[in-house]
Amino acid sequence: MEVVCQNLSYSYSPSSKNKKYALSDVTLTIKEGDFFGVIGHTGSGKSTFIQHLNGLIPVQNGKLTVGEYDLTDKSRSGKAKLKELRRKVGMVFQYPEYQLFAETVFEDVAFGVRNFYKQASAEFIAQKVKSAMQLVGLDFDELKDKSPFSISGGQKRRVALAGVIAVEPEILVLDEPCAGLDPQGKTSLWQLLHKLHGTFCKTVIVVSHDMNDVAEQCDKAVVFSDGKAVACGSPRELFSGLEDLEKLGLESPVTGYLTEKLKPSVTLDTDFTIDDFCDKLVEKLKEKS
Amino acid sequence: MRNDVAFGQYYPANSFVHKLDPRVKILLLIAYIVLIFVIRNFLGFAVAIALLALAVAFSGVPVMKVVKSIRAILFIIIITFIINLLLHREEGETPFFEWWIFAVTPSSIRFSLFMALRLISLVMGSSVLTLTTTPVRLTDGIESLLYPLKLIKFPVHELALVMSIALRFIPTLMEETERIISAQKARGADFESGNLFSRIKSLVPILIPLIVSAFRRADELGEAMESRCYTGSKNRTKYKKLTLGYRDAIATLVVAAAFVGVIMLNIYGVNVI
Ligand SMILES: Nc1ncnc2c1ncn2[C@@H]1O[C@H](COP(=O)(O)OP(=O)(O)O)[C@@H](O)[C@H]1O
Ligand SMILES: [Mg+2]
Repeated sequence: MEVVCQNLSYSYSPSSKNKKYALSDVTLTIKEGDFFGVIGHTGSGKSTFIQHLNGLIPVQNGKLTVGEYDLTDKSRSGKAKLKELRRKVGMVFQYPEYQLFAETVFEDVAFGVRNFYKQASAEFIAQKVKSAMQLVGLDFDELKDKSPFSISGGQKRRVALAGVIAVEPEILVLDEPCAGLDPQGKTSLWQLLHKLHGTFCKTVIVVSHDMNDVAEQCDKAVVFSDGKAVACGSPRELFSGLEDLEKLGLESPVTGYLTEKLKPSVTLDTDFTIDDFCDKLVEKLKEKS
Repeated sequence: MRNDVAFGQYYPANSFVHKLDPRVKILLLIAYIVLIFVIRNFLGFAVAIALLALAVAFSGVPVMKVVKSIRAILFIIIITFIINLLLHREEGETPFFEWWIFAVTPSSIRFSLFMALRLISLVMGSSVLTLTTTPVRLTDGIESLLYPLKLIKFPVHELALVMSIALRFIPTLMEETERIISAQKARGADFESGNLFSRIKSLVPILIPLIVSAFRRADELGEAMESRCYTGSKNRTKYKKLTLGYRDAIATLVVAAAFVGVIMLNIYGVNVI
């Protein structure tokens, strides 16, 4: 499913006189199969944007289509359609572990399955829960009967993630999934997201403000500033204009700064991942010697 | 959603009423409420409403904001009006209209109008207080007024602290609720369809995370306070001291004058309306 939005604008206080736009005039396409980053500093409209994608925030101005679902057309996007869309666009909010509520891990992961498949049999539900838990790297037999409030923080986040992917969404949207994780937890979360990207989650959309993560992990990214989508492209395109990024109050990944520092003597044409940067640097060094 | 909470409705301005001491404002509000209940004829209400209008005029708050405060209890006002209108009855009256136990009589019209006016002036008066006083100053005022209760070992300071923390966290919890609702909706939760039982049941996925997070916040706040050596009221001084000024004297005199006016009307003006 492809996400196409045109001139999307949104204000949280549409009736007030000097209204402030949380999103203004956003035009953007996210192709099926992208591993897509959404960057911007706090309050730039990232969360507002992603909540449009499954209809949690209704379209105020502009156009938005997700696959065949036209979110602009309110008459056609009935309740049943919206529910169908919400199954296909899985959304993991910031600190998703704070939304756990059920008595057991099993019940929490099954919540979405029960909501989206009303007449599902017990086996069907159990099978979905089991495969979701295995995908996120949780031991089904060990954890299924535990209380979600008694397990560790990292496990809680995985349970919450399992709860979203259990219904096999085609687009997975995550709002700052690495917030509050240690470096190890971060690395394994990125690995997990790439693994999911190879399965039913054809498109992954990740909100992040760590440029290193974006450079390493994403194929494409959009930069938000003050509700506007000010730049969009691959990390190679985004991070080569260092000054432009700084004007938006954003940093560059470490590799970007290094490329800049080396510039008078060595010019590197890199995509800003650590591996590629090192390869290109070694190449240049070999040339010189 | 956030802006509809009546508590956090403080309207920032720098007016005469804003600058009054919160203790004086609270006491004057109590006096005003007593006044409303002492009134026995409609002319008395003219005095009360004039007093209210004066307070609003000197508060810098848009009149509409004060009027809108009625919205929250409009339903109650209408219901009590109807009940009083139909059920109130005095001896030996000829009703305009009668059916079963219901009747509309001259006295029931008078009485129900009276009660509605009372409720309206009460709510508008209270909203002037909350519109012109920050929650912090309000609790400071209450704490100071309750000070005598310390003599009987009543934890006045702690009570005031609990109140101000509760007020402070209302918007935070509202925000949290919105976020949890969105998250559960994204997982296919449906809060709008089904019968009453299933609707109540559908609140569980919201309430449990909300309660858990309230406890977590309470824990964090407690730790933050302890780490800053908070030990309760003992030896604690205040950053902002409450002081009385000439404005407080003027306001008190005005309310006292209104009081005298109403009592005079009660004694001499019974037959006016
Ligand atoms: N529920 C809300 N009500 C009112 N304003 C909001 C709400 N959520 C966000 N905003 C405002 O909208 C703007 C964009 O916020 P958001 O999309 O959360 O940004 P980000 O996720 O990039 O930090 C901010 O100015 C924020 O204050
Ligand atoms: Mg955000």
